[in-house]
Amino acid sequence: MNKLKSLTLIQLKDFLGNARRGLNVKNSKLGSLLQLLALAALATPAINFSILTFNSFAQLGQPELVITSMYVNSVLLMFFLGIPFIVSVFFYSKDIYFLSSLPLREDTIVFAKLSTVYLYLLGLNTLLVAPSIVIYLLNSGFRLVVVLMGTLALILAPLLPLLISALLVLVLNRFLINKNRRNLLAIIGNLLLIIVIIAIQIIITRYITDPEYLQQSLRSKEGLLGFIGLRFPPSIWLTKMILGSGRDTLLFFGINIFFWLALQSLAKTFYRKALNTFSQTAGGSGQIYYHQRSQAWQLLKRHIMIILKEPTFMLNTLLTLIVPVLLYMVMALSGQLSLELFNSPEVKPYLPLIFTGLLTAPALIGSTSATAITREGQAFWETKVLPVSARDNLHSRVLTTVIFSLSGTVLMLLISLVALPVTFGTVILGSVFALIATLFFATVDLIINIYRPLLSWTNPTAAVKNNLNVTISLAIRAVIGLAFYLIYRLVPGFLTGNLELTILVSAVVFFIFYLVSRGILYTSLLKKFSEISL
Amino acid sequence: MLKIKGLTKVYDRQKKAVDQLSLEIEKGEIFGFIGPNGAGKTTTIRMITGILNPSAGEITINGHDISKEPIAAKKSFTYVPDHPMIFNAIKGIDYLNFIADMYEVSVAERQEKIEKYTRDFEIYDDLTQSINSYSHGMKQKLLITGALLPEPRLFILDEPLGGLDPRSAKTLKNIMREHCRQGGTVFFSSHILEVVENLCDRIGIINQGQLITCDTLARIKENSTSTLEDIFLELTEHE
Repeated sequence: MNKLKSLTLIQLKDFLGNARRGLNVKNSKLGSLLQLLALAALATPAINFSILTFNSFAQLGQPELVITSMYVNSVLLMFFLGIPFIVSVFFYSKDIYFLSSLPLREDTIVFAKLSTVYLYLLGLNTLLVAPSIVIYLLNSGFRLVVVLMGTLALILAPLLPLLISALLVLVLNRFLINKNRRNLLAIIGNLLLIIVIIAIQIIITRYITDPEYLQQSLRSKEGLLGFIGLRFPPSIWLTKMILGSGRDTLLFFGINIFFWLALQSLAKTFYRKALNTFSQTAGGSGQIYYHQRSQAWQLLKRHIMIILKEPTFMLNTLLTLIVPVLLYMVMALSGQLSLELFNSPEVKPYLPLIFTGLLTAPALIGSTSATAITREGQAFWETKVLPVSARDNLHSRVLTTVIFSLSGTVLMLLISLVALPVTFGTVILGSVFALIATLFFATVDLIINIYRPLLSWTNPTAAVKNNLNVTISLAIRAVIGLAFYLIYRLVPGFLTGNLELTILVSAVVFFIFYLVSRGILYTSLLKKFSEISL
Repeated sequence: MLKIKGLTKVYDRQKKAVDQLSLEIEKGEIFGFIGPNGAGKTTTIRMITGILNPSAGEITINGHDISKEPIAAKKSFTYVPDHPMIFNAIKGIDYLNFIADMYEVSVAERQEKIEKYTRDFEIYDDLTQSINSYSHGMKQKLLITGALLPEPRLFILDEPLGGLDPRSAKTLKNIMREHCRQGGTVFFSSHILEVVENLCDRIGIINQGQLITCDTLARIKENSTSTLEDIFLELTEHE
């Protein structure tokens, strides 16, 4: 078998195997079903938005621009997602030494490694762009050329952002030699991605709730249409290629081939630099010290450091702290939230509820405890052989989550105090509720992790992201949310009467839940925790 | 110091990794645990250290049953695994202080021991570096240093000489001897029969999960002119 093909296949198998293992589901059919469900969940908003955009463009007489606009959205996401992914497969991948010892050309290794990134982006692009092509086809009449060229376009579409991202990473290589900077770049890249996703989500929401706004955006000279046509010509080439234009097909192929050749010519440098970067070892810094600390402090420090020292874990945890803040800021900047809104007679009565929700958001979004054991991976044996009780071991993990989550709550509290006109009583009540909810979710999530420890993972992403524990943890939140909704529907006065009393009663209910979950964790589950082995 | 009775580990309700293993190790002994790859050495050690729960059997360390009194039992031993898989984003000195705190080693004592052992193993100057940058051997030395800090009554090592350079291997062997002279006990597994032959007071040979012999080298060699290697090969030969 051709070396490139063989290496690409093994990289893809490894990638898919890791993704499947990350689910930690023994039944392979169930694993596939879960993956399909996740894809469906991601595809649904893309389909909705494609329909909406198609209708708007159809009114303007240019329905094909639905494909253009979805491709632009996709390129943005693929570009921002591609950078940290490429950094990850080259600068954090442990097989890079092994591969360098094989009789392979540098460009073979580079393109085989990029194939996993391509596959990831292809999936994302298909989710975003395929619905727009299908909707266009269904509404504009079936044409074989659109089907064929549309399929070809889907396959080709991830190449451009992938190649540009790879070249950008190459340019940033000198900067990346320092491992801390590498970590920083991974964190910044991911944060930018989150901001892009939130911004797109907010724009979509606004388009859905206010279709006139979309029409205005499309008609304006500096609007979406202008941006699409003038600032990113490949999107127009791709659209016309799908519609059967030979000239645009050549142009789209041409630009991809140009970047492909550019990367191929730089592949040797790229790979060598990656190898050198990977081999860099940081010089020692600081002093040798001898301080005595308590066991509890050291265990807590250990779990905090596991999060802070691993960029993927840190980013994942940071997101729980700042996503609510980012969301709030983007909404405020886009004009959807304002002080006038909170002072309006329609919204003002609900301020205690909004305030409490904002403070509880980090606990609701974060599932840090659901991977508290998993994050340790193969180093889990360390605390097992130490003279530390299972209870203290678990307690330090819960406390770590509580510390991170409450940091997010404090951040939200500060912002909310500036933005929301709330009373002192509401502040106290909201804070108490957030604290109790944080304790409850941190405990329940750890219970999930005890049942599903998943200690064998090959990359940190598998430990905290491609992990069914997080999905289960979020499902529990959804069930609780549903329960509250049912109570709202069934109990007269709930959420319409005295809201402060409602929050107080809910806090008491959550506190009882917390006591029960804590009781389960520190009694019957101690043995189960002790039975976890590598 | 270490009593094992009827220790059994069954994986997936079928594969017996360790089968009815019983042995006793006295205070002051160096005990060598040898066997072919996959014989059950690491599984046995993991059960002794509490990493793995046995399917059956009892393990008593310094009079404490590891399953009933895990904290008391764990205070009596330290462990160095075959693969130094530790949380390695911290500095070497952070790791050593962490271990010292876990075993409540005083500041003066930890300073003296850290300086002594890390200088002996020639990693003192690397202590302020992240463990990520350590080689396999350096990590092994760091783990050994950590394991020596609390002066354990029982020192358990799984293939400790694998990543060590000759000087460090010699240092470790001296430390093991000295530890036993001072009343400590050493239990270690190894593939290097020469080391086992020269260092151990008693030897246990495990094959296919069963302890097939456990005695002093002299008794094992009784009525034989063969080397330990020959005896090992003969005893562990598959039918």
